Amino acid sequence: VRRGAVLVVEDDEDIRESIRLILEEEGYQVLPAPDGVAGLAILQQSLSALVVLVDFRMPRMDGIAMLREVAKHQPLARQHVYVLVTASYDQLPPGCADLMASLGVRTVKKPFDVDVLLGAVARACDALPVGHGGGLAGPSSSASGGSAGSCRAK
Amino acid sequence: VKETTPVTRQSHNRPDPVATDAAAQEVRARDERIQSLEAALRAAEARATRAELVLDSMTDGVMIFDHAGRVVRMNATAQALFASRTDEWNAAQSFDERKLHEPVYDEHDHQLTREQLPFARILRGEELTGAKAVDIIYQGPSGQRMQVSISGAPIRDEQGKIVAALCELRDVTERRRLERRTEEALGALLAMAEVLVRIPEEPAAHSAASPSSPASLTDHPHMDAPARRLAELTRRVLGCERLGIVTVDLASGRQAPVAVVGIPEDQLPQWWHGTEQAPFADIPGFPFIARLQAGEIVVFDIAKPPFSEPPFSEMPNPYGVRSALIAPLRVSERLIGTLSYDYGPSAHEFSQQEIELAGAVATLAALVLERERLLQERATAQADALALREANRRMDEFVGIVSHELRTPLTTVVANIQIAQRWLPRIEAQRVGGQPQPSPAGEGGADDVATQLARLLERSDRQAARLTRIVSDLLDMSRIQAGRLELRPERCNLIAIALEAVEEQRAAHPQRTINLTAPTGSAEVSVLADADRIGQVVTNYLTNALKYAPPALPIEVRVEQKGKHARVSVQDQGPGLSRGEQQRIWERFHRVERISVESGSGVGLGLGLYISRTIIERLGGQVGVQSARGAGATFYFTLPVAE
Repeated sequence: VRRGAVLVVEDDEDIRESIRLILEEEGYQVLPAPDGVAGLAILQQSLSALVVLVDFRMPRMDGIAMLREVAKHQPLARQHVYVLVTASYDQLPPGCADLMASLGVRTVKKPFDVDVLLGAVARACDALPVGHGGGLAGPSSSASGGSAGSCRAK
Repeated sequence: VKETTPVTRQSHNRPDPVATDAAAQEVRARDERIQSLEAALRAAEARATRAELVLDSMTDGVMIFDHAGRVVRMNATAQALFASRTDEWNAAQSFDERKLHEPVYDEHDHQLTREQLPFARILRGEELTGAKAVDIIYQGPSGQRMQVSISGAPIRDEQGKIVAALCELRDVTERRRLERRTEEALGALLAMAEVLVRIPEEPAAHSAASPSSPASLTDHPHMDAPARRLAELTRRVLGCERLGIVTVDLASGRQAPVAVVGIPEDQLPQWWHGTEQAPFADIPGFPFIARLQAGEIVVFDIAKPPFSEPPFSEMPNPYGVRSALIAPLRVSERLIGTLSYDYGPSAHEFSQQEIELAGAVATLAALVLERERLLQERATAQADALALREANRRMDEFVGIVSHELRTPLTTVVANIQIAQRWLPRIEAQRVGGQPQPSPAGEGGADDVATQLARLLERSDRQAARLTRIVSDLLDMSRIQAGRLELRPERCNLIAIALEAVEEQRAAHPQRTINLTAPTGSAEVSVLADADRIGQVVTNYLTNALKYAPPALPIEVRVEQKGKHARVSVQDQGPGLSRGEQQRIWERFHRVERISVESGSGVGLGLGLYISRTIIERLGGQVGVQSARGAGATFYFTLPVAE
């Protein structure tokens, strides 16, 4: 079972590992990043489309700040699909509803049910633009001509 | 005198009887002329004397100056006005020579030059009559301040040339004093009225600056500014020596001082305390409270019964008061206080007019007090509302952080339980088949289910422990707030406590370097403390260091003993703290926004250092931090060494 690649931007190591375990078991490839800065660096290098799970409260650059950066770089906004995974869903800063709507960001509340997380990732995969192959970043992956369809292929 | 006819030509040799008769007639006529002249002179002298008498008997002073400014006439009243200066009265002396005018001031206390003096102005042609009369002020015969009103006009000859100045002088010293007094009273009344209608600019600031209000003055031994101003204005209106304002509570029979003026500063605390202690109660034989309630003004005369008799006559009278007046302060016919005043030891008769004035002033003072009370109430209500909003905001923020901090470890716990549940079928298959199953995670390959399961449980356990710590911190905070944090001090070894905490963190963070240094040659540093709580403090310092310092750099823990004090410090090479941050970090909920964590969760409750400080201070020690921006931080605490 080969599915798309998921970037997990999460500062809590145990949560990051738990998500990795859940997604890898379902056949996703997982790219871990401990904060928004690291996450953004991976996004900028990735030639293929990624599902991006973003935590809100993180050191250096939090999830909302990272999404704001994404919104400033439309190629990044169009290429990837973003899901906010947060324990502070009731504490989001004012004004970020517009940002989330413009990027089509869905929210998964922590603590999450594993099925809910997997459902959100699957829907995000479906929303990935056709033409961007799901998979590792890099020219070879892009050149392989993978498409969003690869996400759905079981 | 009529010209007589010459008769001497008719006879030369002998006496002519006709001629002799004519000569006699002439002599008679001359005599008559002389007599008539003498009569006229006497009459003139009598008139002059009468005029002099009239001048001297005039109650106003009159002075006449010649064209050169010399005094040519000065009646008795005028001389009395300048008595000491005119002792050596000499008409030949000029006004200047007599120094009558030095120094002379106008009513604004500006000294007048000679040219500005009234007589000089009149000699220049000015008419100082009616409203143009001027006041001069100078030191009177016995050194007292004199104020004299001068009017006058120039005297001219047939050609209209000014030959003299006529001045009329009237002593207005007393009248002007009364006028000033009235003016001051009016000014003070107006100021009181102004206080009543003025809208305070910042009622909240006012309340912060002067917490004492008429309603709550009992706790504040110093008058607040509005009350003092009220008392001073009232004293100005009434012109009394000492004036006190108190609020009264009829239900409890208590009174509270508001303000007093006219007593020396060093006697103020005594007055204040005495007033607070004294009940507001009727005096036996002199019930006055009901009278005050009815709006009546009460006069105490020490010379009359019951005050002139024991026990009152034997009571101390520190200010030697002869008589005092007490006016009720009433708002809507409710007695809220009293205004009392006296003139000290000097005899004073309270006239009906004064009693009425006191009543009017008391009414105004009551309104001012009531207004102050209402303003105070409003300010308090505003401050309460503000504090409530701030408390709510902080509570919201705190609840948000707490929920985040609780949900984060819970996420791992819940996720790992669910992962294990998903693996159950495979574990069951392994049990039935007896063969180790490949790792459910697929990629890892080598790990079997049991190893993976052990990792899930380890993560869950770690996060469950984190949950427990958060809940403990919350409980500790709540206990500290309620004053119920229990500590069980007993003799314990600080080195052992530090070592245990260090080992715990070494085990949890095997990749980090934590060094522990203790006094050489000593295995024990004894303190009287709660070992678990001290361990909690060391762990708190350590976890902060691990969280904020770069992972590659070591953390130094030191246990030292200096004289009667033991000291434990945790030094990191993290980003350090500014001076301001060093003070605030010990506050509840405080987190340094600037610093990002190097490892672990990005958020904390901001309670660790607050709890640590409370524990150490309760055990008789002190906490502190030595740091500078960019130069790492050393958190320490000291405790007294056990004897």
